Amino acid sequence: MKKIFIWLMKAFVSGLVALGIATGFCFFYYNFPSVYVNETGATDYVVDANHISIRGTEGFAYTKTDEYGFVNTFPDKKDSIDVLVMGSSHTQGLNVDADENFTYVLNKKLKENGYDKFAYSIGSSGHNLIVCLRNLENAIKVYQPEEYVVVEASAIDFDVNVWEQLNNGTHEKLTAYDSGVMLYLKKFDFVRLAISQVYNFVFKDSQESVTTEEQTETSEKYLEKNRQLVETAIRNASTIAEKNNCKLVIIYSPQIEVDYYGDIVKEAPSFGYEIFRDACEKYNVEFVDMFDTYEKMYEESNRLPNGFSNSAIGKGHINKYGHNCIGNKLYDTIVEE
Amino acid sequence: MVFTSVPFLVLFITIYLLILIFNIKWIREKFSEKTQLTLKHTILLIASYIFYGWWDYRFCFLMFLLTFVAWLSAKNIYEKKHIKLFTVIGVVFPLMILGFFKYFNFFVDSFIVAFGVETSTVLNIILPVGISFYTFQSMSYTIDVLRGSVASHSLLDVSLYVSFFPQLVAGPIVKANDFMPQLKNNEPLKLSNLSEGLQIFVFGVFKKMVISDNLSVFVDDVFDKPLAFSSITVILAIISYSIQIYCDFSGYSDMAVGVAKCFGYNFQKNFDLPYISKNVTEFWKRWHISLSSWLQEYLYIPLGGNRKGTVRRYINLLLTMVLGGLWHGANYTFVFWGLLHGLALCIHKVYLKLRKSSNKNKKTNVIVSIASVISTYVFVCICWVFFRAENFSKAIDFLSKMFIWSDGITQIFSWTIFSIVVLIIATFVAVIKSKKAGEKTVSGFYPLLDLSKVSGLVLFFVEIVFIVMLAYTNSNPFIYFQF
Repeated sequence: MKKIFIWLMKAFVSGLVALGIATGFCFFYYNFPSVYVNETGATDYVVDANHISIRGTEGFAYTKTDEYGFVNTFPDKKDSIDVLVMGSSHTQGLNVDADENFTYVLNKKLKENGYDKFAYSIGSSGHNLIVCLRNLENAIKVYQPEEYVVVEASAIDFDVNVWEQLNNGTHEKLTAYDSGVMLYLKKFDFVRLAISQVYNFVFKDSQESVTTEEQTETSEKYLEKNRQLVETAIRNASTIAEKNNCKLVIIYSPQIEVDYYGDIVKEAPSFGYEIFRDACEKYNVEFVDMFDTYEKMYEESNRLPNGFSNSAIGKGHINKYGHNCIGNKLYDTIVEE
Repeated sequence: MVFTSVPFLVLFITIYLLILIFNIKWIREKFSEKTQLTLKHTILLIASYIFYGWWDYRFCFLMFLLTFVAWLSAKNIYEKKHIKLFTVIGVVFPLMILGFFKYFNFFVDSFIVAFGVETSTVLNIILPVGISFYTFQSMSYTIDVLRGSVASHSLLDVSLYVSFFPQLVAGPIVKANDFMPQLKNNEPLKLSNLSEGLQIFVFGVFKKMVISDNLSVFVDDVFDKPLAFSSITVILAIISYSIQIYCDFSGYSDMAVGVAKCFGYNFQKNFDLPYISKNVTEFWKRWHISLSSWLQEYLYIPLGGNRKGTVRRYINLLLTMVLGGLWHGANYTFVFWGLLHGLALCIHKVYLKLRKSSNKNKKTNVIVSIASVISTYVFVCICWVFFRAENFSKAIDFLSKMFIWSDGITQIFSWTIFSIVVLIIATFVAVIKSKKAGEKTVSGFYPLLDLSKVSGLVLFFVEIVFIVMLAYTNSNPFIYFQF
């Protein structure tokens, strides 16, 4: 009995030492700030201010949040914001260095070409197009951009239920898990990574079945309803922006597929895409599709806008080449305007 | 059920606790040794059928049928009743089952193509997981009894031998004369075996989930569209695949060895640093050892081996390797892979013969040894292209990208670099250990720790937390499950 007790004590101490080593490793491999509910409503949540962020599971980049919990490192920050950039983890520049995300590229290019304009990013993980449009009014109220509001979207083709929720104000906020045990656990990077890994491992099969069950509805009735809902959403967003003397720009960054021979796969636009593009045109929203720019980059340098050196090729978050393309495209859009 | 799953963890703990009951002194004294062994084997057999039935319970009947035929044949052979008839039944029946489930459509397709027949009679046959492994094992039992190297056993023991869950679905292929004697062992479960077994298991999990599965992301992308990638990427992809398949398969073997060890059973080593082989002959002594020795013992030698002259020897060698290739899957790419290895083995045999007659005492220097290792590795990698590619066309496209320098998407995959570094370090450690021990050939070893000490426990827990952090957690089945 005594022997077992001594061994258990040894195992406990060894376990603690191993956890300490894992935590130390995570400081350089998986170091994430905690998220909290954003009371202003400009985003659903905001992360720790002045916090280092490293995520070695996809790419390897070092970023640091600013004093408000967003990733903005452009040195010559003005007091007022000309371009407010909203979006998801892509906009946040997850997995690219702080001086590689597209907001930084845009700011740098504006400065280099003598424009006295400043872009500020409030990109946060999980903030897709619907979430950004839901938060648009609050974001404009809080940051008061003087010229543009840019919304980055990697998907624009949503189900009618989602558009309906957006239009009638029932679209739910993202969960921040910023209280109780979850917040405490999330302070430890190893625990957070372990939870994420174990969750993926245990539920991998159920996640797959969800993906295969997705269906695309294409009946006429459905499409008409979709058109009406998308138009309403875009009209509302455009009205909010115009009321504040801003122009709304939606940057659409699709994932590029390559075929067996290395040529880019060009598919006919989906109905959802056409409905969205037409709605933007109808309500004076600048719709910027990155496909052609990405295609040009690929033809010139064989580079894809998504993916990293340790992840699936051409899939996942936008890499530094993709960010560079978006930054330049945004610059051209703003200068042309 | 796979080793790296929650249901397996539950099954393992349950069986272990059940068998642990036989460690209780009162039970050991109360019941006879025979009763204890029967109960233990019954528990392991039920667990093995649960393990297998988790995929598809219907194939449990198939496995039992094969077991029954092997048991019946061996029993009659042992009792010297209709030896010829039961030998034919014991060998041909498993081959027929294997042929039907694995090769029926392949041969029908080949026939249709060869003779231009318009109507297709292709059946929708589901390939039972691990069928290639357990048919070989059931045949091995019949042949071993025929040769007199194993006595006839009870149906329970034969069933356990064929279906024993650690090696059931992806090997190692355990020979009857290695395993059957272990079934007589009634030693209680030992803590030292559990400690060793768990460490070997965790080592296998690291190979599978950290190295192999992470590499699979890159390998799958490049093999899917080889023409889209630059030459350097394609070369890195085949290097990655060579490491992926090694870590996947040897990882599974390690897990099997580890699990069996926990219950007090010993399996032989299935892989022994194959990529340090100086020639193809050595490669096959280090790669999938249980299959190559099975093929040698039950195919090459019965065909005549090297006893019937030089030409016949080469023909036997080629035939063995071609059939070995076909064993992996019903596809001509596997046949070609086997043929390439067979040819290389023949060429190596010719070379050895010429070398022997020209300079008997000449020793090879270090540079020649390194060049031999590299050239063998390059050859093995080229063969892997045919093994991995879905068809010849893709394999040729892949090879053309490898050898004709061209542009395309370039990906220097981090996990490839990591894996190469890990493999080089592990090999160096093995080389140094072998040199220190004064061994003539370099052998791999399991890095076993003393888990009664804090230092050993810390290292073991660090290994586990690193697996948790670095493992690829999306679904990725073992490569050898398809065989």
